Amino acid sequence: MTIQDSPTVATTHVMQVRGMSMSYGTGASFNPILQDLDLDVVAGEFVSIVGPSGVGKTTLLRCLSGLLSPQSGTITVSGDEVHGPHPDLAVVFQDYSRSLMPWMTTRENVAFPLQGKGMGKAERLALADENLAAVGLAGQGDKYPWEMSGGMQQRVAIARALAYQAKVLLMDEPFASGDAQTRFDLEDLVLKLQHELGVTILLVTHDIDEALYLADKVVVIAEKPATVVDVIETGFGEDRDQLATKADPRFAEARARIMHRLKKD
Amino acid sequence: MTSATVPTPAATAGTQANGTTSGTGSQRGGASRRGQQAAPRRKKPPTAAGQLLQSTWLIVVVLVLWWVLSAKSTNFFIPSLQQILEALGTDLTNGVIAGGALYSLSNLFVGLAIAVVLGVGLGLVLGEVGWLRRIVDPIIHFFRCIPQAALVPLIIGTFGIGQGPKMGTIAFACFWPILLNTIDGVLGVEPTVRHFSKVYRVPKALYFRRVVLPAALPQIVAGVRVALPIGITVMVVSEMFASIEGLGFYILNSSATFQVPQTWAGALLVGVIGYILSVLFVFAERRLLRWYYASGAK
Amino acid sequence: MNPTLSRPAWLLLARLGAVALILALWQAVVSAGLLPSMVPGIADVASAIVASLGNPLFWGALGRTLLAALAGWMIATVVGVVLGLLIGSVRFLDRSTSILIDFGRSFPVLALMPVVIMLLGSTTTMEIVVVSLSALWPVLVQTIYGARRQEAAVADTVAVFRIPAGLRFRRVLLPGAMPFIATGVRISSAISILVAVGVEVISQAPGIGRQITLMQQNQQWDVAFAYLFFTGLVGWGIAVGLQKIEDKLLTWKRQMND
Repeated sequence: MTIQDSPTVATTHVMQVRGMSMSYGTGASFNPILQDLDLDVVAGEFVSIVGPSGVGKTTLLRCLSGLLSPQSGTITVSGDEVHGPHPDLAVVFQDYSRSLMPWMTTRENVAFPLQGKGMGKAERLALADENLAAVGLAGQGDKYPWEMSGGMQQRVAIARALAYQAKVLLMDEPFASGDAQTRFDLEDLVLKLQHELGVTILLVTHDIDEALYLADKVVVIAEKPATVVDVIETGFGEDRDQLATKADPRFAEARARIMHRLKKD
Repeated sequence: MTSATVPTPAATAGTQANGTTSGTGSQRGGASRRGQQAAPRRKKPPTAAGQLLQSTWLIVVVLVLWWVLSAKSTNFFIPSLQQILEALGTDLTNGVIAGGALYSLSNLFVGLAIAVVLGVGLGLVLGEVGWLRRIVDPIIHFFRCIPQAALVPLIIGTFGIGQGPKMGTIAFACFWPILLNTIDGVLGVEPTVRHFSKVYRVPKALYFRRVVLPAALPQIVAGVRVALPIGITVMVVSEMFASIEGLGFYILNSSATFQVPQTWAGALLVGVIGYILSVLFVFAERRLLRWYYASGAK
Repeated sequence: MNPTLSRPAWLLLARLGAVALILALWQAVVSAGLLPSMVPGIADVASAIVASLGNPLFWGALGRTLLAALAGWMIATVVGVVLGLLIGSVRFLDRSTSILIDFGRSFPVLALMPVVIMLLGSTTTMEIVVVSLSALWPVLVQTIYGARRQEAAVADTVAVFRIPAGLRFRRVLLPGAMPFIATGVRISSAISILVAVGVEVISQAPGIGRQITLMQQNQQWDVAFAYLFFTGLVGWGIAVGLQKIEDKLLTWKRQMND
């Protein structure tokens, strides 16, 4: 529907990171955050990056989204080397309630980046409604974000990213706040959207279960400075269920492997 | 009542008339929120010298431009900056301005002092006594809205052109913002503190002096800061309206006798004095309210 | 006393009583001869107020003052908001202008008036210039503050979705700073009227301030006091009106704060 990858590019890398390093400060206050990080994301794939709190996940995501330039290494998106936010990337921020503009209705919020792309008014509003419907908010376009619950606000943020028609969605701890049920609903929504729209998703989280449940591939980062310590293909296929998938022995096995990795430092 | 609330001194760096202090920014020069929130960017923090350069280059450019452009001025009413500064230098050294400034500033300070005493005193009472406050609320707001400059002809016309009426006009103009802010300050006193004083039967006088007054002080000081520029404005207007002394008279008299550079010099001097007073005030406030800033109370 | 006052009718009555008390005090002081003889009694001022209502000269003067104040205020608002958004969103400009702006806003612009009169004469144009120079600062300072405290999440969002500068200015910076701008604009409105009247009091520029001076010089004290009353009334009305508009326009802000 809104985002379509042609089948021929299905196995190409939409995003590639090579030897990325990032640090803050110099001299005595030198603080390396990321060290020699590699990452491959194939079109249509769901990749989770999991790591403990404080490992530098947010820095990583800011580098990937082009908000920060790494000191060394390269990031390519759709074959272009990234030196700033790339049009094929959209981000769902952790701080979703603040990333929505309170002076715009949800429809205007979703349509706003499209206006920046120069899309006509009728077209962008129609696209906004379409994507609001896709996240289960049909008919809610005239509400303001502050009239909605946290979970609904997050859906708006997801709709905004989808409407932008990016190839890759970066999600920064998108479900971190909110109760368990809201989280499960949002996780299943994101899975459903990914299968329906074929969009590539890169999720950054500290929650191992969430990373495993959602992803085709889990990238584990740890140590100081952070680097990739493991990559796990989950192989759960398309049909996942909060109960059944999490009860799968492979789930427990992968979970143990990740925990072991993180424990070792 | 008072819709004109003034949150904190830090949040009230400015603004003039009207008693409201608004949320005018935490002090300039403080790091922006954005800088604190966002993950650090790669830019190096500027050095002290760099910061000084950054905050002063524009002033230098403005002055140089003024100097150069006005030097070629053929308009009689736009003297060169050099002439203005020379006129200023002459009258500063021969005592003409010094006498005027002394006259003006003594009017300002006496007027302001009266306003502080009355405004704080009445404000403490109105802040504590709810029913009285609700009754007089519309009256206060009406008086606050009278353009202070319109009082000048009436008060000076009635009481003459001496110093007293000028001080009175300044006091009247400065009274309202101080009163309103004091009331808000009293209303902002922590209920716990209030209850504590009740429970321990702290005598009324002691309670006002040692509990309510300090707690309301940040707001009161913010009110005085709002009142200061109003007072300076009324000071100048009252002297331009009817006076044979003072900075306002100096400016008006220079312009009436076509001493153009002197007119400019006087106007600039009043501006500089206004700036210096506001800087001194902020400085004094920082010292006076050290406990407030140190405790991080907001 | 408290419970009765919570009833609106009683409160209104008490307030009217307080006003009556003040008026009675004034009358008593005047009658007792405690004030110089030119201060008019309540009855004189009241009849002057009523007479003014039917006086085209009064309405014309008030209208001129309000128009000059309005013009100066609007110029100050437009200039202040545009400059403020620019300065507040570019840190280099913010640092560079900070001392100049501190200087400008503590500058009693009325002191400059003789200079402006030399250049422009005692005209309405001169009045508008002085008003806008005075009213500029609160709008400018508030707008800078509003633009400066842009949410980090909003700034990131704008960057990631590559929002062009013009659109960002109009749809993000401006509405985000709006609560602060509104405060600045409200303060400026009071300053505009204050300065407009002040200019008229000390120059020959026509308007209600000039009328107050003239009436006082003509010994028509009752009329002068009546005009003073009207300036207060107008100032009050504008303050209340702007607060109402602000509350309506910034619903989103109020909701956010709840």
